[in-house]
Amino acid sequence: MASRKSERLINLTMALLATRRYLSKSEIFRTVDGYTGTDEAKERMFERDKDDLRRIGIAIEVRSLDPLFEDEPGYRIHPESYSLELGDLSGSEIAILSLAAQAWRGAALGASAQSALVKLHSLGIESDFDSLPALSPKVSVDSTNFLPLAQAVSDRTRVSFTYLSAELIQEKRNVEPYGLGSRKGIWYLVGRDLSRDAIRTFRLARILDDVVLERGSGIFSVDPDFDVLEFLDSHLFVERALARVRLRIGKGHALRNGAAILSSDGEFDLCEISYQNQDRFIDQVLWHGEDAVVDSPPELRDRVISKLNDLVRAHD
Amino acid sequence: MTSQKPSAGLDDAARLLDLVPFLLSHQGISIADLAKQFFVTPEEITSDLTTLWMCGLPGYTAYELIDLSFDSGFVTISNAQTLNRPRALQRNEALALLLGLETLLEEIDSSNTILSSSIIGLIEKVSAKVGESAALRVKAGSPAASAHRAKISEAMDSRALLKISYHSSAHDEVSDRIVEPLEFSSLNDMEYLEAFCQSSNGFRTFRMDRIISAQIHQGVEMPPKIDSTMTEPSTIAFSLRVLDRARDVFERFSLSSIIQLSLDSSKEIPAQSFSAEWTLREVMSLGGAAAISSPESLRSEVRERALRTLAGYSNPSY
Repeated sequence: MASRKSERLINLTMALLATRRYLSKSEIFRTVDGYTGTDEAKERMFERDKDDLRRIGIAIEVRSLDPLFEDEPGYRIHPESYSLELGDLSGSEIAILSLAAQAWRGAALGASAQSALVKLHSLGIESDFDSLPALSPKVSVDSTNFLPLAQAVSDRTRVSFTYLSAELIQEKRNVEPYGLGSRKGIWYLVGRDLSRDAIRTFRLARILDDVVLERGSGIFSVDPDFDVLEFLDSHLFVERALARVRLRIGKGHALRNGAAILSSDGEFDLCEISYQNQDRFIDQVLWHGEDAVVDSPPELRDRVISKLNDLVRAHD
Repeated sequence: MTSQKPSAGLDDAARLLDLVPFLLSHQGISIADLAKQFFVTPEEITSDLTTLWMCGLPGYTAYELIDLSFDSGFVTISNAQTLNRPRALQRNEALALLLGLETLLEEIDSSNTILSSSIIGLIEKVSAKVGESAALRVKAGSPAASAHRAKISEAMDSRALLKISYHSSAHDEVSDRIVEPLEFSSLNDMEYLEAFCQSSNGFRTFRMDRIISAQIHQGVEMPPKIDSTMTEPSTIAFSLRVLDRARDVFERFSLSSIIQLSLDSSKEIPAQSFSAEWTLREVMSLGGAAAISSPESLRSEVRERALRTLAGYSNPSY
């Protein structure tokens, strides 16, 4: 049954692709193999087939055959809309696209990347990997919500999901998803939280259930120039501050990355370190215990001292 | 894409349409290789080919039908010019390529201007298939990633040993190790390397962004000596109370299984880790948001360490 159906879909696609003029329904039923039964049954079959082909991305064009009598529509598929059009591609461009597809191995869009790769390899252009340096990029996103969220973002469809709040409460959120982006390997959803009427950022890993796409709620609007990475940069990493921290010599590797050593007293290096988020920076300094001592700014130093006192109190 | 359930056989039809241009550009491919390319079994591919053989243009005589031969286990195709071009990229496919290209662009050496301009050119072409504004709204930024992945993959493929320089976070030390790389894994969007570490004679997991350098090791290849003592690193058990920043505490100690518990700062929550040092540092880093209840040795060590650290602040600042 399934193979009869796919046979008919292939035959229909081929007939509509090969024709230079629009075919009427009666011509299709007469010539394309697979349309059987009563007129009504054929009609139903054809409508279903058109929807199915649209679902796999094949657009059937409809045009009135006779401008005076609009009741006789004609159908065809334009080869340009049917086929992969990325302009002329060189062997090294095919190789670059292959690497881009391979970046998804084992991750959320793995199946889509693989089917894209099959299409690219069907162009009959030999990949030229020799022109490229050894590269092996990797997109790290594990969340099964990635694909539905990407669809919701590009369709501008409202979503709802359960989110783990900072207080560890599971909350239902209704969001107009504006964008999906990653920084430092962590994926975020940015959107308008409808109950709070404010733009919020959500980590994908903190979404606890399957995202529901609220298709019935219509399409929302979003600034066409909204750039998700610019938004993340200006909201997640707002501060750009400098701290002076004494780091024990031979220790504090994670903090030393990009730091400048101002002086050294044989036991400690005095380092100047830039950071983007004070809370996270304090966590990092505390992680290093007695190997990292904040000198300035005084406000940062005071916050670290107060947290150390909290630690002592909590472990009395 | 829509909530309506697609008809049975639709995936098959899509695969059949994609098979034709692939076969036209890979004449003589074996059924086994073809099945692998399309992620189906050789039986399914054979059934696909049998279906395709019945398809063609109106008329459906030998002149119009697709001609296939695959009895020998190798496939050739002819008379299928109508379907010679691969189908247009679907939105998900274009999106996968686009995000892959963006990741690639972040990883290459920016001084390689020829390569980066090729990648940017392709990003423009593929963006047009996703829709320009949608492309701005789903975007891969700088990965946590590692510049060493290519070298590590190469070692995996050739079963070579690697010499890596690794920053162990728990001990805040950089050490050189000889490892046999086994596979990449990921957890919470972080990427890890699973390897047999010859230096510590056991299986170890390395966070990719903490690998400082990786080189193929030109030493003698030795088979791993596996004995029963090194299967699992030993775990230590402890308990803690959550005083503040509950989500941070739960995420750091992977306590997600007891997320349902109502939060009560007097409640002692059992936890496990692989390293006492790591546990100490995590608790320190939480700055009083979590308190160790037991064992007593771990609890007093946090206190001592906090006091020693405070002593560093008794000196006036520079």
